[in-house]
Order: sequence, then C-alpha cells, then structure tokens
Amino acid sequence: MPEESLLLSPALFPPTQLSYALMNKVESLLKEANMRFVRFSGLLASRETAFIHLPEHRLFIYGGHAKKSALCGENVFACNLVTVADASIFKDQIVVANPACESAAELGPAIVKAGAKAFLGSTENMCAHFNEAEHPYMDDWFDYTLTFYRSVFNKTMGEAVEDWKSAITGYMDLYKSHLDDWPNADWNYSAAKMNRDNFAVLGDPQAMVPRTGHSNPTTKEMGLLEGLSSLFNPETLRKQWDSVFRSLFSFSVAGVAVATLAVPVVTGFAIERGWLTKEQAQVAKTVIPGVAALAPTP
Amino acid sequence: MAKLNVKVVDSYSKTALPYVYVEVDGRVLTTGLDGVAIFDLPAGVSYTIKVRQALYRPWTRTIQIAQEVPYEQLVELEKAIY
Repeated sequence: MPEESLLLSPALFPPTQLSYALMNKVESLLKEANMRFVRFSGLLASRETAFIHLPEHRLFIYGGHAKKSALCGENVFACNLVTVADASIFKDQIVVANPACESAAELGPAIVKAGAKAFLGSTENMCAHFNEAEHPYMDDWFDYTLTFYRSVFNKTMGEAVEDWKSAITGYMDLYKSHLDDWPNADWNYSAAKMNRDNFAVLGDPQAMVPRTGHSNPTTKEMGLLEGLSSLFNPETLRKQWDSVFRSLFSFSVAGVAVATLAVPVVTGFAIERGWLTKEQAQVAKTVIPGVAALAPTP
Repeated sequence: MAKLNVKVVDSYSKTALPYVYVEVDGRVLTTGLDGVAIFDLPAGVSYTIKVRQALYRPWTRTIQIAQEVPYEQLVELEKAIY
C-alpha cells in the first residue's frame, strides 16, 4: 500500500540543521494526524534513496537547500535530488518545499505542468531565523512555519498558505514595534517579509492531502543504518529485481533474435571458407537450424 | 581618532564578503572586495556595530574603542537562506 507522505530533511549544510529540527516537529504533526510516512534525513536525503520511494507517495515534503531548477538534497554541490527533468514523477501528488529557496520559480511550474495537483514553494530565497539575546526569533520561525504544516494536513493548500501568511504578518508586526529596542529586529522583519511575500501555491489551491484513514498509522523514521538497511529489505530488493528482470528480459529477447540470425550465417560462412573440418561442418548442419540451408553442399 | 577595521567573511568558506552593509552607530559603509570596511571613530566611546546581508544571519555587537589605535573586528556571517 502506498505511504501517504515522504519527508526529506537534509541536515549537514547550514542552516539545514534548523530545517531538520523543524522537520522533527513536522514528523510529530504527521503522527498526530494519523498519516503514514517515510522520512529520509541527512545523507539519506539523496536522489538515490529517495527515488525508490518517490513514485508511491501522495504528499512529498522537503525542507532544505534548493535552487530554481532543483531541490538539492544533502549533496548541495550536485543539487540534483529532484530536478526539472524529474517533474513527471510527481503526477497526481502534492509537493511542499518549505523551507526551500526559489523552488517555485522553475521546478514548481514544471512539476505542476507534468500533472502534480499542487506545488507549494517560494519564488525567492527563504530564510531561517536565529535566536538572539533580545528575542527568540528562531522560536517564532518554528511557530509560523508549523502553523503552515498544521494547516496543510487539514485544510486546502490555499488555506494553508493563507494561515502561514497571517502568522508571519503577526510576527512582522511584533518586530516592527521593536525596531528601536531589539537590535536584530530589522533583519528579522525583512526575512519574515521575504518568506511571506514570495511563497505561493502553484496548481490547484483547493487541493487537499488525500487521507486513507488509518486507525494505526505506520511510520518509518529512517536513520542512517535503518535507511541503508531499507535499501536491502525484501520490498526494495523486489522492486529492484523487477527493474533488473525487465532489463534482462529485454536484453534476452534481443540477444536471442540476434543469435538466431547471426549463428547460422557465421557458421555457414565458416563452412564455405573451409575453416571447419568435414566432421565439424556435419555436426553444425545437424545441430544449428538454418546452417544446412546456408552452407554449401560438398 | 581610532581606526576600526571590520572584516566580514563567510563562516563556512571563510571567504571575504564584499558589498555587505556595516553600520557603526549611524555611520554606514559597505565592505570592499576584500570584505573590509574601515571607520574613523573618536576614542573613549563604546559603539554598536551592525552587519547586515540579506542572505546571512544578522550580526550585532557593542565594542569599546578605548584608545586611538587600530582595532580589528572579524565578523563571520552564518548562512541564513535555503
């Protein structure tokens, strides 16, 4: 049975430590909402591991580095966890990239064009906030971003984004009122504004996360070892074998076709040139179909 | 007057960050290609330095400029965007 959600959270390159911690809380929300999910974190938030699970989910959640044409995953140098070329893999799914920079600029439209129900992301950079001596801005960031995730599981995508924008506006008002006495309020106001103003729903704003109503949700939280073992569990191996079998079968059909034509021709040619003894030629004519017709009669 | 050299670098790569906004009690400069902004300030006063770049965590500190000698302030900015 397909899982409902796939959660990916890189954790190595700053500030993904914060989005990783945020995704821990999102994971709790998924559990509270009785949703089945699989999570890959850190090094396992990679193209190789994610693609085994990607096609089987209805909701894809990503928090980490991104660029206009791709979600990066843990490998920010290759930045190829999901690229524009992979857009069709999200057909009929809802994709959420929060926090992630610029993903709604090129990747999001491509994913929606390829048949996804909705893509939620930002057309510009998205910022983390950090706790400072005068105020715990990071706590605010957690709160307003979780406001978004609380709504995503229960409301339409458009409503979730509106809830998120309202929550951010509340914090922006707070920072604005403390521009004179909180030394870092200016930057945090601008960062919150950037997060709010550039975040959008692409596709259907009325889309909702489909629920299958599990009374006992199953969750798979994957650390490095569990994740690696998941690559070799029976289900994954079965999927990989299916792919390998299809490939082998294709090669076999092609191979048999080539052999059926090539072996008699080559053998007949060898007999004609006298490269085989009389006994060998006789055996070949008897055993290999077609050789008798092709080879010259002595 | 004392010279205050503010050098701004990326905390991860340690590379100099040019065009960063540096404010010292209302005096505003941007860093050069070498990541440095130089202020001439009266000594015997404490100053609040604010370093701002949209892609990095804000940096704010108060320092004491006690004497008319050169002061070096290294600022390592932490990435704030995804």
